[in-house]
This record gives sequence, C-alpha cells and structure tokens, in this order.
Amino acid sequence: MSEQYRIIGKRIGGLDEKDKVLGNVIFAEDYTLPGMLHARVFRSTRASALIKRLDLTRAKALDGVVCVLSAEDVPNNESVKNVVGQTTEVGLLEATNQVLARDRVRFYGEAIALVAAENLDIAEEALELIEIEYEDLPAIFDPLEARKPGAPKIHGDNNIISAWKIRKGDIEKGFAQADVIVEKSYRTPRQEHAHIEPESGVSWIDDMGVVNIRYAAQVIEHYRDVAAVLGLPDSRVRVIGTIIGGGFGGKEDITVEIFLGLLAWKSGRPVKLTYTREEMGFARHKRPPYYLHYKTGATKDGKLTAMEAKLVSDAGAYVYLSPWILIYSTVHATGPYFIPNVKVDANSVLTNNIMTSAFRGFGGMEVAFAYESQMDELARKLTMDPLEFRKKNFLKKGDETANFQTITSEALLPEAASKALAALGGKGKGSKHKKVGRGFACSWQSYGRMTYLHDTSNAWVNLEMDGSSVVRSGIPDLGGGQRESLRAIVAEILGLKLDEVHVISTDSQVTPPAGTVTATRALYMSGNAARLAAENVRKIILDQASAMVGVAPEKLKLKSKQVYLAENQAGPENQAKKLSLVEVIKSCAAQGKIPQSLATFKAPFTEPITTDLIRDPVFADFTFGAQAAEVEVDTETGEVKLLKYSTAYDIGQAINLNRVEGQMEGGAAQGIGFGLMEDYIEEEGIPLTWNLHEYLVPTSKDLPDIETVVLESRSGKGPFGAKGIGEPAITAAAPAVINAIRDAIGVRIYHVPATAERIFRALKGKREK
Amino acid sequence: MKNFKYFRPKNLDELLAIKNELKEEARLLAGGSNLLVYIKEGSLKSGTLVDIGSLAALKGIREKDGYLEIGAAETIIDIMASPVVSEKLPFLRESLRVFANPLIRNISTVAGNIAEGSPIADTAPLLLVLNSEVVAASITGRRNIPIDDFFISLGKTEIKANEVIITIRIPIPETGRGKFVKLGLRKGTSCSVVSVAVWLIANGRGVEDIRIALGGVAPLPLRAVKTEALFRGKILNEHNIGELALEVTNEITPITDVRGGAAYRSEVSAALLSKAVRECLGMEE
Repeated sequence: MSEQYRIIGKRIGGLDEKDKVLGNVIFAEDYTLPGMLHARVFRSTRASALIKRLDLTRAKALDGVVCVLSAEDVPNNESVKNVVGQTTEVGLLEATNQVLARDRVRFYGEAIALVAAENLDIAEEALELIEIEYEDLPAIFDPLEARKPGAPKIHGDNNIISAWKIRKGDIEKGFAQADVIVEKSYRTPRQEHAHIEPESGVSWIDDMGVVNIRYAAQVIEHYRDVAAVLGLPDSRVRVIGTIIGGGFGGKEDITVEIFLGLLAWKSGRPVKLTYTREEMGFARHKRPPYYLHYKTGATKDGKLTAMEAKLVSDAGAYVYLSPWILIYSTVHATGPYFIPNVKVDANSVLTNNIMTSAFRGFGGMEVAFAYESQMDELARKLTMDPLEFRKKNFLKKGDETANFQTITSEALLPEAASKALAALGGKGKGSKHKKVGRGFACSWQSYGRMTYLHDTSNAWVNLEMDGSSVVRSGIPDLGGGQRESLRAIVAEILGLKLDEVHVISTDSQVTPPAGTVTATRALYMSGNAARLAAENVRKIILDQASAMVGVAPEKLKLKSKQVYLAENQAGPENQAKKLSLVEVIKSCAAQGKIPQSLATFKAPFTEPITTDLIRDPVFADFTFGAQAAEVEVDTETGEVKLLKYSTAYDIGQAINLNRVEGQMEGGAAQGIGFGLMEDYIEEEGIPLTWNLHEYLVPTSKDLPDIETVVLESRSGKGPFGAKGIGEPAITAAAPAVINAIRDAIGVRIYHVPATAERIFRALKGKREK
Repeated sequence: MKNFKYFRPKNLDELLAIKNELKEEARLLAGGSNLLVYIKEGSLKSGTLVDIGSLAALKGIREKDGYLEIGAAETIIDIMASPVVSEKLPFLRESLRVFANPLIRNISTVAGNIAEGSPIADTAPLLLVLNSEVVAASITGRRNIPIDDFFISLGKTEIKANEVIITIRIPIPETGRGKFVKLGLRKGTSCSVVSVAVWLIANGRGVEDIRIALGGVAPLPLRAVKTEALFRGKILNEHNIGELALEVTNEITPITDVRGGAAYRSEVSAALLSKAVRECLGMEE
C-alpha cells in the first residue's frame, strides 16, 4: 500500500491542455480535404406522421448539388433492434431503427434525407427545395399514458420497451419493522449534453476502396454499423477518431458516421458533415426523463428496513440505450446503503418525444436525486444528524447489494461525506429575504460496462531501439486525458520519462480494439490492457537482462533506462552488473526477442440476464463519494445562489491528479446544472429549447469555486487500484443542492431542475398551508 | 441561398440616403448581436447590411444642456467605461453590469437593444424611468421621440422605415436614486424573465416622485403609472412597500412561455419592485 510512484498520482502536465487553451487542437470540424462536399440533413417537422410524398427532384436539380439521398438509396436502411433489456415480461419488441425515415416519422427532427453539395449554402438551399407531404398520426408524449393499453403505439404493439425488477427480503415485513416511513414522488429532466464541439466529421474513399470516416467518436467500433448499412465487409470501413470537444455520452450512439459513409460511398467524393447547434438540440438524443416513486422505511434507531421504488423513464421514439440505462437505475436504486428488504420495479416507455440515450451518470444520477432526498427527509423525521443517520446504513466492503452483489472494494463513504462537509468551511449567515442552507448527498456509481457484456480491451506496447516506447490503443480521448493516462501507466512500469512514451489511439484499422470511451470504463479497461502489455515488455527485458548478468529476474529493476539489481541487492560488486536498457534491447533484437506485447484485459464475465428479475452481479465494481453544497435562496423570487460547493470521492488511485480534479469539478458543474436549471422542454413533441440561449447550462457566474477532496483506497479494479470517476462525479450533485435548499427554506423540491419559479411555488404552497 | 450586400457609409448623409432608398431592406449593423443571429438561424435571408459600427457621427458620449447624449453606435462596454456616465449617471453604469455578458457588452449598443421593440430589452426599463428621448434622423430631418412613445407593439417601434436612431438623450437627474433588478434563469448571460427599473426621489422615506418600468411582463416594456401614483406621497416601510408593489400586477399582462409562467411573472414582478424600492431607500441588507 505504501509504494511510492514516480509518475502515477502526480499532477501531470497534459498532452493537450496548452493546445486547447491556445486553440491549436485539430478537432473533427477542422479537417478539410480537396474536392470535399458539404452535407446537411433534411429532418422531420412532425412528431408522428406518415410520409405521403417525398420529392427530391428540385433539390437534385439545383446547381452545385451532387448527391441527395433518401431511405430508398440506403443499401440496408432498417435494422431490427432486439436490445438486451427486453425481458421475458416485455417480450420481443422488434423496434425498427432506420437510417433515414422511409414511410413514417416518429419524432420531430428525425432524419429523412441527406444532401451533399459543393458548398454549405447550396446544401442549405437544397434542403428548402425538398418537397414533403405528411399525414399526421396519433401521437403520445407522456410516458405514463403511453404505458396504457389504448395508447397509440410507436413500434410494434407495446410501448414498454424494458422492464426490470429487484426483489430482496420481504418488503411488507420490512415496512412493518419501520418506525418512520417517507413516501414521495420525484421527477428529473430531459438533459441536453451541450458539448461545445458539435457532432462532426469528414469521410472519403481511399485508394484501396476503404471508406474512411474521421469524426468525433466515443465509440470507434461504429465502423461495423457503417459497414452493415453499406453492405460492406467490416474491413472496408475505417473509423479514425479525433480529439473530442466534449461528449458526455452524446457521441456514444451513432452521430454523423453513417451519413458520412453513405454520402462518400454514393458520391465518390470526400464529404464533411457538421451538425448545427440547433440540430444538436432537436435531432440528438437526451438524458431520459424519469418519474420516480420512492417509499423508504427506517427504525427509530436509524437503521433502514425497507425501500420500494417504482421507476418510469421516457425512451422517446426509438430504442437506443434506454433499456440499459434502466438496468443501471434499477441496480443503483437503493443508493450506497445496505437495506435488508428491497423491491424495485422499472419501466422504460416509448413516446413520440426525442429519443433518449446515454448521458454521463447513465441511470445512476436520476435515482440518486430520489434516494438522497429520501435519506434527508428520513433523517429529519428521526431528528437525527443526516450524516450520522447515513453512517448507520452505508454499504461497506463485504456487504451485499440488493441484487446480491458483494462489494469487493473499500467504500470510504463516511470519510467522503465528512470531508465534503468539512471542505465547505464556515457557514454564511443570510438575511431577511435570503436564507442560507447546507446539504449533502452520497452516491455510488458503477465503473466499467455491465459484466454480462463480456467487455475486453487491448493494448500494444513496445520498446524502440533507443529505449523509448510506443503504445497503441483504440481508446478515444474524450477530453478526460485517456491517452495521457496510458502514457503515465506505461512510463511508470517501464521506468521511462513521460515524454519517452508516445500513445497512438483511436483508429479502428491501426490501433488494437480497446472498446468505447463510455461507462467510466476507459481507464479501468484500456489502462489495465496497457498495464498488462507494459508488464509483459518489462518481463521480456528483465528476463533478457537476467540471462545477461546471471541474476534472477525478480531481483532486477528497470528504471531510468537502466536495469539494476533491486535496491536491497545493491552492493559494490553488483553495481558492475548494471546494464543499460539499450544494451538489453540490442541483445533481445539479436536473438529475435522483440520487446513488444499485445495484451488483452478481460473484465469479469457473468452470464447474460435472462429474466426481468435482476438477482446477480451486474457490475465489476463501484465508485463511492459525496458532494456538499451551501446555497442562498431568495425567498421573494425563488432564486438560488450557490455559495460553496465541495465534492469528495474515493477514486482508488489517481493516475493524474489534475485530471481527477477536473472530472470532479466538471461532473459537479454538470450535475448542478441538472439540479438547478437544465431542462430540454418539448411541448407535444415540439422542442422549445433547441438553442443555448433557451437551454441554459451553468456559467462561471453560476458556480462557486468547487473544492475537491481526492481519497485513494487503492482498492479499485483499475490499474494501480484505480477506480473510475467520469460518471460518479456527477451523480450526487443534484440531491446535494436540493437538500441544501430544503435546509435553507424548509421546503423540498421534488421535480428538478429547481428553477426559481418552482421554488417560488413551493414557498407559496408552504405559506398557504 | 443567403443573399446579402454590405455597405459601410462614410458619413451620416450616406447612411440616411441609403436608409431612405432601401427602407426595411437596409439592416443596420452596429455590433450584430441580434442581426447575426437572425442570419445564422435563417430568419433573415437577404438585405443590405449597413455597417454603422464605426460611423463617427453615431459615436460620442457627452453631457450637453443637462442631458447625457449617447451616440447610437456606442457599445455597452464603452458606456460603462465612460467617465461622464460614471460621474453623471452611475445608475446607468451599475445597471448595465447585468446586461448579457462581457462578449456581448463589447459589441452591443443601447440603440440596437431597443430598436427591435423587444419587451425584454434590458435597457428599455432604464430609459423609461429616466424619461429618455430617442433622436431619430432621416433625409428630411431629425425628431426627438420621448421614450414613452417609442415602443408601439411587440417588435414595432416609432422609428420609420427611412429613419435611423442617431442618439439616445437622457436628462441627467438632479435628485433621486435608481435601481435595476433583473430576474433571469441563471446568473451569467440569460434573457430576462422579468426586469424592473425604479427611479425614486425620496425625502427620508417619503416618496416625492417615483418612476417604475418593467420588462418581460407585457408585449412592450412599460411604465407602471398607476403603481407610481399609489407610491407618491407615501411614507415607506418594509411592510407597505410590499403592499403597494402588489398594485403592479394589475398593470401588466405577462404571458407563459418557456422561461416562465404568467402567474409567476406577475407575482415576481411585485417582489422585484419591492426589492428595487428598498434598495433605492438603502433598506436592503
């Protein structure tokens, strides 16, 4: 535990921070190629309608238009999606996803046709020349209504696309044992990713006939989806990822890559497609809105006895990842607490709203808002200190979760919560109309994909003749420093300086498949793969050195391009046996033992879930932590000012402390936005907040300095005992703020975001009581 | 396809001539913080962009005959930085601190802000409580439009198709204190849900005169004259300020939109008015 690292856990100057600040990074939109066409997408302006007529004639005839495509031009336009998450209860859904809408549109913004032209102005003009006639169909926008038998059906004959449940203990008995019970309903918003960089990319056909697509991708494995649509072998499509200007799950599903592949394939010309900010709003998936109903009971001594939760999420018009997100919600529904009796029932429901899918937090933060609101109210009912109450119930190593998964890492929840609260410092006073309050919230969030997905990640590491190293890994750099982490890990293990290690990443035909940069898996998976490969290379070197000096390899150390005897072996006679790394590499090469390794890291594998009842482990491990807030609420207007904020997580082991803090601050800010102001509003399927002057995210003026507390238990499953922090960092923010508002004004907000208007109404309701 | 011409007049005569010739087709470009949005979102597809951003005749911030005169092409940031404004009307400088954000303050103008006839233009309530005048010019001459007559209906002002705003004139108040409060959905860069400006001339806590203007609660920015009348002559305290301020809800006709409900706009208008009056009296903690 006490091992000191040279590089790991330090504040590492990044590969690209300076370039980002100076505007030197080449993002996806910055690429251009000679003869490149510019593309735009023609989209539905109806939420639910039949396409009675689509006429592309005038658009095609426009001077400068090179290619106009509709569904009939797409080799394989439809794919039937029988996602995991459809259970015995729901049955086979057979929701059809379509590249371009053929006969029917199911949400406002659905893609219908593609245009590529000599320049963007012509492409835009061509969009206006496309003629379309719709016949409106019945539509449904409320997921609670959409569950009912008579509701209009979006696909097939059932709008419920997934159902999950948890049963642990005896729920009736659990509530009978409770001295206090809190039962409340909650709602969470449809959050927009609002990444700075739009979805963008460039495609071309190379001299080998391969379709190349260079775009901002969280999942470069989408080359397979492009190949399937084009009817090409997977080997004929190559995805080259770029440095990503923000994703948060927004670049996890298909974005521009299929359209780019199609247009380059059909036109034979390079093509660029960048979504407009408005298009990012109304055409791209959002975080699923949730309806949550919670009932939680505890004894007068503060021990939780039972928890029942009913969850309904709005999947929107197509089946993307909402069934998976719902699994996360179901498993995380208890919060990081040991509860003997648990019952969870969860549904995800199709509507004619914009589709919902991946977003940082992925089902874990919606339930966190509810379970931490419940915990706060229970503590009040019990007149117990909210931290003392939680301490009696925190999950700890060795405990079993509601789905019978044993926690195998440290949880450090008491430390995280105490330190987050302490980091707030002295409490502000407030005034007649401005009330100050404090709150905190704890959360847990898995890192790594669901274990039944049998996740793997590959990395290749070598040593060059001069002792420097090259790392190849398919992992995209989402801005979290994913490449930098691999560099640090390999440099640490091979005893090199950071700038002696070069990382090549995110190219589906050049780098070994490392999987997605999603699910807080990048460091855990690709970091472990790089660690394994580097350890293999070190072994090659030490074995060779061992043969050269006649000392057992375990007594040798590799550092600063020298092979030493381990310190405790060091004596004057052994110093003579010190070898330079270059000498050893030369010796290896002479004997054909190339110092290189392609390693595969495999996450724990579990059997696929076959019923709607989740009763086995689903995740490899969890990250635990807490966030705390001090707010000032204006009781005349309902406005909230965040005065102080802190966030504390056990991240196992920092790889780069700067990046850990960056994730924690960014996660808090995005979670505060979810709690206080962000809401993508649709009215009867028509989006109303598709621009960033209506869809508001927090600015620097809305946030105080965020204090970060980094705890390192070294108990995680990642390299050096690291856990993931990307998503855990967002989960506890909204309930921390809402609990602080409750403390300030004596009123709880059950429907986030807690806008001034909602707080004003709640205060008025309290006064009128 | 987008089809724009660009013209940069060398002097006021050229500006007035092209405005007279092209009327609405001549789109005045000072900072472009509205115009470029219309072009980018596609609601404006053609026209002649007449660049007045550096026209000397529309520049200058000066005191003249008891008025503060602000050239129509002066940016918000330059107004805030002006020593004349700081000395003669610090209320204006202070109030503009909540206008948009530094990037937009760097390019926007007061004239451009009010020219759109938007009910949520943040400078409108300020100009209203200061009894300002808008100087409009055309090839046939100039006229001074009292700010009370300036806003006609949603998106429409008194400025004719051949006219250009050249100066904003604000009488420098000899007495009184002002306060502008704005409620947005976040602290940095947001459109006003409701905004309230108050200019109060008080003797101790007795109201000699008061002017109240609001944004975001009617098709136009408006003066709350009935509420003003109620306040006049009253000796104010925390309690009766709140009571008197409620009158303002009878003078406004807010709507429900994505930024807020009509009922909330109405009720919060009274709250913001109370706050502004208390601030003018130095009662806020």
